[in-house]
Amino acid sequence: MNDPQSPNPSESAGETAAWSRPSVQEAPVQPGGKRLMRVLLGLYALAMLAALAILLRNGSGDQKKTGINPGELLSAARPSGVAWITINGVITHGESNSPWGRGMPSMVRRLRRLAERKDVRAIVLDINSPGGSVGAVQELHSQLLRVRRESKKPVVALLNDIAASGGYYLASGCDAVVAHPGTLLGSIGVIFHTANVEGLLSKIGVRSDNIKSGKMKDIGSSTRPMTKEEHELLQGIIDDAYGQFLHAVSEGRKIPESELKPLADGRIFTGRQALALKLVDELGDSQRALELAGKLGGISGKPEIVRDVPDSLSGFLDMLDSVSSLRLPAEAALFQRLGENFSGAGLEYRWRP
Amino acid sequence: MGFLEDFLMAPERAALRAQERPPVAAAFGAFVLAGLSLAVSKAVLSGGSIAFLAFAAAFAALMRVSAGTLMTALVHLLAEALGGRGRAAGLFALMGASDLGWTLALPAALLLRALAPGAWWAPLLCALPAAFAVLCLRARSVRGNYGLSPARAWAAVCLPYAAFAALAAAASMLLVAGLVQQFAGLIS
Repeated sequence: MNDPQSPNPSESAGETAAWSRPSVQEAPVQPGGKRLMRVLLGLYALAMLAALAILLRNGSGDQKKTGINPGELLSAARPSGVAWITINGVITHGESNSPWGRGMPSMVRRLRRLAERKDVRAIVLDINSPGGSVGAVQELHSQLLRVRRESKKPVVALLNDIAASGGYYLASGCDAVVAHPGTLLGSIGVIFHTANVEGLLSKIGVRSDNIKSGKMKDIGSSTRPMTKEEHELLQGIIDDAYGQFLHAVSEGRKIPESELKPLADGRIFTGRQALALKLVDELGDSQRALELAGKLGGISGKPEIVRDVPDSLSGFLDMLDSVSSLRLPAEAALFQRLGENFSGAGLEYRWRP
Repeated sequence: MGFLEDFLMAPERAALRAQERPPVAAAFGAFVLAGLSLAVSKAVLSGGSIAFLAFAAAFAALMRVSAGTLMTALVHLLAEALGGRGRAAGLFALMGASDLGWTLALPAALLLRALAPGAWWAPLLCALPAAFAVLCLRARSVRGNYGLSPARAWAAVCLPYAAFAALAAAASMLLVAGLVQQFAGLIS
């Protein structure tokens, strides 16, 4: 009964009476307890000080002075690698303002975040895109050039199924371009897509009236035919945006605009055709792109791939978004699709077959 | 300090002290220290900065105190239901002392940062042994505080976790069932 570690006597005897305990004075005292406690406390205080020193160093911006990455302090060596960034689908600002949107802003964030990492020596842009809106493509292209200039890290574009129009615009801003022999690329040009649904609306008794401050205020309207004057104005805008595209590719690929112009009528090429026209640097696969990036980044041996940490919450919310859009009835889905084609007119660096 | 010495070297004596004059304030301190150690360990492994650490440490300390209080209540109910007799305040003091097992995570984090920087498994390797140590210390505390057999003490310590796991599993199953129902509705 004097040992409190022994099972409760009521368990075996089936009694409910309170368990009688010995007093503290009766319990045995172990010698050397104080000394052990002091040693443990000392060791813990040392560990805490070391940890705080590391964290202070991380937060003080000493990284720039010492060249030590927060993750490298106390470590023997952190392997250098090649950042892998995937650009998939149409490049836009994103359909919603939600923080989990997968548009161009999140691509830029990923690019900047990876470029700032000390263990990243080069970047591979894995492009599989038909292009996108002019603003989004130019923003991404501009950020890409800025990252190259500021971080001095080489960027290699790997072109997959398709890298047309805006997709190729981005690739032209990289240090080197690797494509598969069958990749579809090119489509250098601008498109302003609009449709005239006046006939359709009149059939269902809908008539649209616009009260406007100037004759050009509803330029691109889908409820009336385009006037000749409007057409000319839009053509001027298209020509200007096309000139910007041509200039960007000419600068990036070091091809004179006069040589590039015959190829830049919107036509697409296979990877092999593009190699002959110097639109890509070499034919190869993802492994080749990785090796080339590693070589340009000064990595000896097989480079390690560094990926941005996927945002699991974003993925989950994306899934919910797709489920909610799938739940649309067939008619609503059709109208949504029609809406995508007939509304939201704007300049696009995009291949629209 | 005397209580912690006894907890480490003479658990029977610590259990008796906890029954007679439970050091509740020291237990609070121990919970806070455990939370602080966990936050610092995490920051050391993930390359965090001191600026962020202040918030993380405050949050972790608050979480440890809240979780410790909740767990004390649950374990006390279970231990009494299993036939033990003891004071809840004494258990709180012993649970606080047991939580100091989390302080092991800090030297482990420093070692892992030096030996395997950036390894995805480092936080796991850091937390699992500390968690196991905390569980063992808790089971020992429940035995001492309530005079239960080892099996019943372990049951009292582990049953709340099992209940949480069952609740989480039930919630996940409901979520999956809801999604499946939505997709089934789409297909039909």
